[in-house]
Amino acid sequence: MTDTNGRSLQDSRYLAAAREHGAMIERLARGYEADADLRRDLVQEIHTALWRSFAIFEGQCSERSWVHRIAHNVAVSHILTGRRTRRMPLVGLDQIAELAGDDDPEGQVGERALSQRLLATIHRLAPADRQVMLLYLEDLTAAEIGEVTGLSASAVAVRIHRLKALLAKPYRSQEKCA
Amino acid sequence: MNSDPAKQAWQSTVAVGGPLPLDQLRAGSDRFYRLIRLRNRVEFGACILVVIVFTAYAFLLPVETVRIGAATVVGGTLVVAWQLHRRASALVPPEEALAAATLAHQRAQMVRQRDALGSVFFWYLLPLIPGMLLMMFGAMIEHGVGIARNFRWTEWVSLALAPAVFAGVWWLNRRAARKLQEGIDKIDALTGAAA
Repeated sequence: MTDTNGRSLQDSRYLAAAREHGAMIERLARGYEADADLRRDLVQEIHTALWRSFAIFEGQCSERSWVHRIAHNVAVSHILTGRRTRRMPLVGLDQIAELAGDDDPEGQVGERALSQRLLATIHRLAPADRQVMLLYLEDLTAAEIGEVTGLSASAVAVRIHRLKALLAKPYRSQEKCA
Repeated sequence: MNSDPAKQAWQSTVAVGGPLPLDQLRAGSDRFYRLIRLRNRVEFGACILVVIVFTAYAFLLPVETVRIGAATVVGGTLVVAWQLHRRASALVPPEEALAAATLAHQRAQMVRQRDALGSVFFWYLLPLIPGMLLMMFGAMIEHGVGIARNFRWTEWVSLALAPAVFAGVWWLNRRAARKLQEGIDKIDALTGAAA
């Protein structure tokens, strides 16, 4: 394959993947970076890495897993190399009893309120649990989450169990109030 | 109630997104390498400055032992520059590394950082210590310890400052390396690689 053909295949693969997963990349960046300017940089870094990665993509895994791996790896590097100070330490899913903002007396479960609480919860999580939560919310299966993260099947299962309980809690509270 | 509303709420936060212009991506990729090159140049610029100043000391200072110390600092600086170059070149992640499972990628990055920070004494501080010691104590070596009786307080402070800075750099880097090791241990526990 000539360089020109290789480059055009890389370009076309990137364009197709970015069209399909572009919104996911934007959401993932929101999950990793709260600052709007830094988030724009992160999105660009992810797209650049994704484009570079399609030079070597030969179907090693599904394209969806590939895109998630690249995006999370760039985002984790962004966190590890960032020098921003954190107001609170990052925690694991096992240390969170409720979604962030659950002290709201009205127990908001509207879509907008819920998404804000999800985002606040994601920002509190340590990288491994943050990845699982983001991948779960993007509707990846447990097997796909294991493939992307490298977590063992049992570790993924435990985290998904905790997540389901955590995510169902606002609705249980609402049913109690009704 | 299942958790699907949560997935729906999350996915509705951003519903659109698409490719960035290819020219911008190519420029971004080039920019990354340019930034690495710029950082290397800044580090080498600092090293060259140290080499010029201490080479001048090696010729101009009145005490011979201090002049030997200055020349030794020049040698130590060249060792540090070589180490910086060697370690900075490993910062460019190849595409294969980007496509690794996320925890493996994270672990590899943390291991690289831990090793660099944990060994900072050997590659960053140690090459400079012999020259610094000779420069600090050169006058005492040539004229006897009694010369210290004539030191003013500023000279005592400057004698204490260099070891304090070196010890501080070493302690901070060791602490950061220990924290990274804790993170690596957590990943190993998650992936079952701890055994």
